[in-house]
Amino acid sequence: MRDTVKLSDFIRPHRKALAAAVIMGMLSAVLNVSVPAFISRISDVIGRDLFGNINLAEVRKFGLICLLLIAGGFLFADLQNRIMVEVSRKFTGELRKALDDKVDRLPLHYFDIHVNGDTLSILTNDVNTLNQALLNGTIAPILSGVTMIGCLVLMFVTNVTMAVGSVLATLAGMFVMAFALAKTNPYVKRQQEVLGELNGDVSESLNGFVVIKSFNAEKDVRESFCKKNEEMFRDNLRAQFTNGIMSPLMGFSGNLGYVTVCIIGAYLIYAGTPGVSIASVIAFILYVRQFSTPLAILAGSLAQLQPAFAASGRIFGFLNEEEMPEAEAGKAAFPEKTEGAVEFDHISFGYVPEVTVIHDFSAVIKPGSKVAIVGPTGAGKSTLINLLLGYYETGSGTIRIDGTDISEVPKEDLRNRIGYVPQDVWTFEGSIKDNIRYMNDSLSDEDIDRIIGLAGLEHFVSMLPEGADTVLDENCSISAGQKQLITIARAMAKNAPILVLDEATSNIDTRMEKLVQAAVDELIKGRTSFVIAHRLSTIRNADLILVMKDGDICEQGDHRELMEKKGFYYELYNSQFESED
Amino acid sequence: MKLLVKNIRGKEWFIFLLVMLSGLAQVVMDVTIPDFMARLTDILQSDRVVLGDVIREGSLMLLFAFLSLIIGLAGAYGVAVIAGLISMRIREQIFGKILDFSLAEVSDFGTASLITRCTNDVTQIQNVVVVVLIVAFKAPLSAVLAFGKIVGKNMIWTITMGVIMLFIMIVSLLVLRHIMPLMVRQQYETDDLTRFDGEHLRGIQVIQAFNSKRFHSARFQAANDRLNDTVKRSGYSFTFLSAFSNSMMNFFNLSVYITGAFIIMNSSPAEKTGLFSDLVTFSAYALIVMAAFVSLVQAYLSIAKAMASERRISEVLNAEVSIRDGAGNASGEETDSVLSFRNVSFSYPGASKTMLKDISFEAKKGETVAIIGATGSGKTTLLNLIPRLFDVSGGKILLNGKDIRDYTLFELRNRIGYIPQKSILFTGTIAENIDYGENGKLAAAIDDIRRAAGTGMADGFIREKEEGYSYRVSEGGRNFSGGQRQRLAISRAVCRDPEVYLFDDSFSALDFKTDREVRSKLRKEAKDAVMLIVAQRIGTIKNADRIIVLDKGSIAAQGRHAELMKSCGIYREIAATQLSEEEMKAYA
Ligand SMILES: Nc1ncnc2c1ncn2[C@@H]1O[C@H](COP(=O)(O)OP(=O)(O)OP(=O)(O)O)[C@@H](O)[C@H]1O
Ligand SMILES: Nc1ncnc2c1ncn2[C@@H]1O[C@H](COP(=O)(O)OP(=O)(O)OP(=O)(O)O)[C@@H](O)[C@H]1O
Ligand SMILES: [Mg+2]
Ligand SMILES: [Mg+2]
Repeated sequence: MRDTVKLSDFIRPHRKALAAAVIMGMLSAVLNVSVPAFISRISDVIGRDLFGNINLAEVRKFGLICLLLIAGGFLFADLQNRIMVEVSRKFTGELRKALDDKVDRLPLHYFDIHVNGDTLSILTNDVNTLNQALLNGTIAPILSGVTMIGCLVLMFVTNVTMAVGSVLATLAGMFVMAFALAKTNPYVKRQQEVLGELNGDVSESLNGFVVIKSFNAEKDVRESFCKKNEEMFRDNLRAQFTNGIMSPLMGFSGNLGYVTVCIIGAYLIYAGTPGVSIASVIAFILYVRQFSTPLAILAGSLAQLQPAFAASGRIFGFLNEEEMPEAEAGKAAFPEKTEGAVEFDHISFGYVPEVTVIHDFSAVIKPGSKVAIVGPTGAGKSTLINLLLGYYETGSGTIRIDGTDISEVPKEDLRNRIGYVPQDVWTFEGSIKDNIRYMNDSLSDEDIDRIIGLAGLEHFVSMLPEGADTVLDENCSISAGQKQLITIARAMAKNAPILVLDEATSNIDTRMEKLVQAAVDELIKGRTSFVIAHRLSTIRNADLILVMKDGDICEQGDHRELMEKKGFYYELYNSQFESED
Repeated sequence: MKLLVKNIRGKEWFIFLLVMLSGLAQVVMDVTIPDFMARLTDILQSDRVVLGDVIREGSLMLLFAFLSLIIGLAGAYGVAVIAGLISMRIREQIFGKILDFSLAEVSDFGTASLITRCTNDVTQIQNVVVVVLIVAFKAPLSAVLAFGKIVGKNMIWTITMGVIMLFIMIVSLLVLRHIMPLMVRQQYETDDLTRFDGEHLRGIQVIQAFNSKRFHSARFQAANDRLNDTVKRSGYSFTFLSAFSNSMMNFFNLSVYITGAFIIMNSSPAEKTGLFSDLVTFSAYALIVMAAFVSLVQAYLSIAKAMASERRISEVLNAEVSIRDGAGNASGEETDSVLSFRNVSFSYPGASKTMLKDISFEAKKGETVAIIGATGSGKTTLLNLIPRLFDVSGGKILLNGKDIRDYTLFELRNRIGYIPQKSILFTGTIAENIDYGENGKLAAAIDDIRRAAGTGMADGFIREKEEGYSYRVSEGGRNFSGGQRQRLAISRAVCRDPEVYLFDDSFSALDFKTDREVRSKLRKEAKDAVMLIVAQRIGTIKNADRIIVLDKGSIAAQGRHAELMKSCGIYREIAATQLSEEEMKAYA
């Protein structure tokens, strides 16, 4: 089991800088606080010789000291700020990077049960909230904490009875505060969650915009959004209210402390307690007044930190999501040169444990053969590919490539050997060239042009004003078939020993398909390839056809054998040509 | 600002008033309570301490403090309500507006940017509303109250105060000028982050297969660094300003005393006492004035900071929607065609190339019109024009004789069942996905949903699920096979019982048998509906009443299968790739 990741893991590398910031903050606070003290010295100097000659030299001296103090106070405060913004920059950067990296280690199953927009919200909104708290909410409470402890010590040294009285009054305030914070905590948590849900709603709606529009679903979508939005309002109201009452609450608690101390002091003087002078009571009262300011700051910061904790809970909940099991490096390895022998050995699998999708699937594929997987929709063809690529763990059984169990080699090694055209096309924001070249930096522009030609994209690319450098993004959409061709070109560019084509040509017109098919056939010569297709013409020349039905192989053989058998494949094949009644 | 004022309505202005009053009351309290404190100290310092006096003054002060607490709580509540309401409404308005958009506007703004504007930008605004509500009333009042005590006391000091305040103001404005562009940038960089990460999430399967996470991490990292750098710079400017103002206040205090020393030195003995006591009061109250001033300046800065977000939100709210409702009442021409294209041409917004040229065809009640053509020939583009996802650039499209731009969008789309090329499903149950949207009729009963699923040949695999129609669909339909998704999308269109079906290559992921079965069921269920079928398989379209061969955006030929086999070269070529030789010969 991996160790859980904690907030402190991200703070720890910066602890020295944070300590420095706290020290700078304290120095600055001390210097700033002492300015009024020196000003009152100036005032004393003026007052002393009010009617005579004011000692200007002394005024100048104290003035100079004050100036130095002010400059020093500013300097230290500025240093503290510089350190803090730098720490926050690094901290946020590292946190986001960890989150982004985590995405790559999640099992695909995670995405079956989570909405993308919600995950996105963690990366933007939650990290922001946490960062704001770090920037504005860490140093202030520490400083006020230290000031408070200082005051407390002085108070207890001066008079224990009064100190106890004032602490009790403060504690009462703190208690109410803690109670309020605890009460609102679930709402603050929920608030971050709902924000994520809203983000998810917007993101999903935009991705399915065409459907929303053409189905007049705007009203429904809006209503569902508004419902969440209203919940957000209610949660937010409570959170914000708690935040807002901290300062009046602590103000009151400070005043309560003040009055308590005055009464105790008066009683002590009245009772003539030994060691209690009027002066000491007055001094004590000054401490109490100094005590209440940091208290209010502390309370304010705590309320600010609350959403940060909620955000942090979501962030680290995500970081601690279960990961795709990864074989340790070096446990097993593929042979240096991949032959491409693939063996499915009694594979069973279900996306959820209760529903088995693949039942006891076995097949042995000779190196370099073209394997076609055919079968009705939902038979489990793509699922088989998902297992081969290691997206999901097999329930039982093993898949071997060249005799090596794929679950024992690092996923990266496994996937390096497989060129894959998924059933769902995906291109990223970048030029057509980049989309094809992808991680193969060794390919020259000429190579890319050749691949563009092979994949039948030449004409299309030549029509674009910027050719292969045209950037694909939301403003430049291309047709579904064109996208599919790019995806095929991408797999061609990868030049891997094993090739997987999952309905790679489903959206391509048949004339183009024929061209591409010829190129693909050329490419897969000598490589093991898996081809899934409904248009059976594309697979007639396969060395091995696996006919799947409900997660089982019901027949296998080559085209001729299967046709002679007059079984399920025969039916499937002929259904292409049956005319309608 | 207008955005904020607009979103406080009716009775809520009373809450606003309450917040204001509570702010004012608190300032009064803030001034009064120290008086109580001083009086208590005085009593303690007097020669004979009377316990009763202390308790009386003390309880009076506590009473006041308690009152202040209550007022404070009320104020906090008001602030929470108003800030919450404003942000809720703004969020609702943005999302509502986005839903009014057409595809062109969505791609103009960009999906990622719209997402940030809807959440992140609103949060920025809300934070500012809170600050403003708390500071905006308190600070000026305490400034005025304090200023009242020192006004006219001493010209030189007043001028010093003015000069220093001016100085703070100038520095603040400089900081503001520095921050503003940073704030704008910060939000756009957040868009980038959302965009790259959204891409990462959506493409995870391919990214893993190509071991390309480094490529995407690098892009993400660059965006991340840019954003953090901007946040750092704006964050620093902000904290700099507060440290600076703090020092300036101390500096001001000092200068008052220093100048004070000289002034007193050079004044006549009679004035000296008065001047000295003025000095002390002036410095005390002037500091309050300045503190209030500084917090106002900072509040102003926060507002300015949020202006970037406000502008981004207003951009969305004020965006011109390109596709809008028609009048709905124009009368059409008499025709027996349900759907007619009349010399339609189209080019994508911002593109110079004409995508569709001179498209004309008719489809009568119950007819099937098939469209076939090469990849990228404009088939999807043509279908998109019918539900007005884009508007024609030239010519017109008639539905039941009436230009589609004369219908309201609601009415038009009610008549259409669209199955897009990419089957998109939404998170929710299967039933919700099939009974999707509105069609101007009653919500579908479970039987209707079942019937639609039956026609779309989805009923079979739905029944196999333990939860049946309440089975949860993941975002985009990820937990279904490609063919199942397509069948659900077909069932969703069937459930609308439309007059016109638009199938965009919607049988491509189905095996031939299922493909045929779905179509024959559809033909039975929806006898009168017009079906527009884009397909690549000859088998799928062979029996269509009319086949349109689209070539580079123009109609190369239209007619029945047999006619086209004879007359249309392109069609023959397509057919040759699919039909057996005997079949081809039959048409030779
Ligand atoms: N992520 C998932 N979670 C749960 N069930 C899934 C998931 N993906 C697929 N299934 C189910 O597993 C079964 C097999 O799906 P698979 O995608 O392998 O079918 P297929 O043979 O590729 O079909 P098609 O030709 O339609 O693509 C289907 O019943 C499908 O509903
Ligand atoms: N939003 C858009 N903006 C600009 N050009 C576009 C847009 N969408 C598509 N195109 C371009 O318009 C042309 C026609 O695209 P369309 O999607 O209509 O093709 P299609 O016939 O449906 O192709 P396919 O068979 O691959 O689905 C293509 O060259 C494509 O690149
Ligand atoms: Mg599949
Ligand atoms: Mg298309």
